[in-house]
Amino acid sequence: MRPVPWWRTPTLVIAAGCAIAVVTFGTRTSFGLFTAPLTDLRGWDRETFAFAIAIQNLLWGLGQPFAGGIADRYGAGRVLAAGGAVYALGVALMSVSTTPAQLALSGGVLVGLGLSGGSFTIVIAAFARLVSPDRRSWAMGVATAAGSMGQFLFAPLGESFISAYGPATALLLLSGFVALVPILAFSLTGKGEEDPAEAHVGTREALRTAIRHPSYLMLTCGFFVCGFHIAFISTHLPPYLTDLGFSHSLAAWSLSLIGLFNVIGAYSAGILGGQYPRRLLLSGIYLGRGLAFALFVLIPASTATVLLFAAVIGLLWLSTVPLTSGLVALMFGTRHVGLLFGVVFLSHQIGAFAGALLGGAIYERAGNYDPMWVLCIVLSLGAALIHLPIHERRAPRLAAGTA
Amino acid sequence: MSRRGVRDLLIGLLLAGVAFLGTLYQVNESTASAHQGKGEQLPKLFCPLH
Repeated sequence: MRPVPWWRTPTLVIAAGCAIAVVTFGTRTSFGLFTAPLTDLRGWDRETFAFAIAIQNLLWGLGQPFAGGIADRYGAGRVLAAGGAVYALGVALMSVSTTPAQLALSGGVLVGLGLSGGSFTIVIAAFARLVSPDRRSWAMGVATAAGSMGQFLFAPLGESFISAYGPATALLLLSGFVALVPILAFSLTGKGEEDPAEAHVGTREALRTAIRHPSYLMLTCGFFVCGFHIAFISTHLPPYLTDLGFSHSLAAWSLSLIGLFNVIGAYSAGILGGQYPRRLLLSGIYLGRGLAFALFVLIPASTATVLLFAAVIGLLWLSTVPLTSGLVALMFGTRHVGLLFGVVFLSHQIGAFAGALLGGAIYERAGNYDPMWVLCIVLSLGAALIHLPIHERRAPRLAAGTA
Repeated sequence: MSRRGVRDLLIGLLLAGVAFLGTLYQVNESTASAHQGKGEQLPKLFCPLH
């Protein structure tokens, strides 16, 4: 067996992957800070900026299965390097974009495609291959927590860059951080060791097998619910609290508490996923969300209940990610994990789109969020149940000797 | 507790510590912007999948 080079040791692989998650996600979340100063500088309206970000999200979601498939074939390191370079180019070109069309191309198309290849989900796929199975779940939990933490580091950084140099130069400086991704990706090159228990099947066969496998479909449906909840809470919790008569500062505390407890929850889920059945943990998470939603709307709201709700939802926020991605790797092996987790991720994005959109539509019709909370509770219970029958073992057609 | 357990705990505490400081920063900024009359600027919510 060839010795592992120092830059491919598990510690460095995990550190580099987490650094990529921090930089790519941190930069992505700091875009919100640029809405007002950049539109003021260029004389655009807010819709122009929002349109570019919408294109970005769309291409990110749609591009993920393709980027994952390419990573499966040519190695995650190459895809991360290429994606990081496109992402950095997109952010740099945003700084010199002077027309809405240029912004849509740079901040929308280039950044969206760059995120597909150069960010978090490809890091998860790389960890599935390069980290030993006994540490895989933990590593996925660290990457999820690191990605979530990126915004805590890059929000102050972006804010201070904007204050000191203006939005255009600030974007250029941020693109310098993203340009580090191809260098960091060097540690995540290669495909890891072959799993002798895994059958050699092509991409189409793996995808065909997965979408015919009930457990994969159940997992994909569960992740749809995750996206639905998260987008609804992200978008509509602040106006809901305002409607109840709470202050702006309580809404700010609630969102920040979700962020804080999300880091703790994601990391803890990674550790627990290595020790306990992931399907039961996922079922518990969705059941916990349902209970939290029900108690939140049934118990008379107070400052204490709002903050407690935020803490509980934060713990259950992205704790689904290491468990869901870990289950995909367990059921289908690591050879096609980029593609197959990419498809699951796409369902999450569709769920997020539905959650944000339906929240607004239902509020407009009903005049309150009550039907939406009921829908969230029903979906929670459905997701809790749907994870129970998942077969937490290798899919038969993908086990060696059966392909 | 095993050596690995201690290491996992320390990494978890580091992540939680940074996140805690970030939370305080965000709330401080949000409150300050409201007091300065810049309008309501809520913290961004953080999902790597969005």
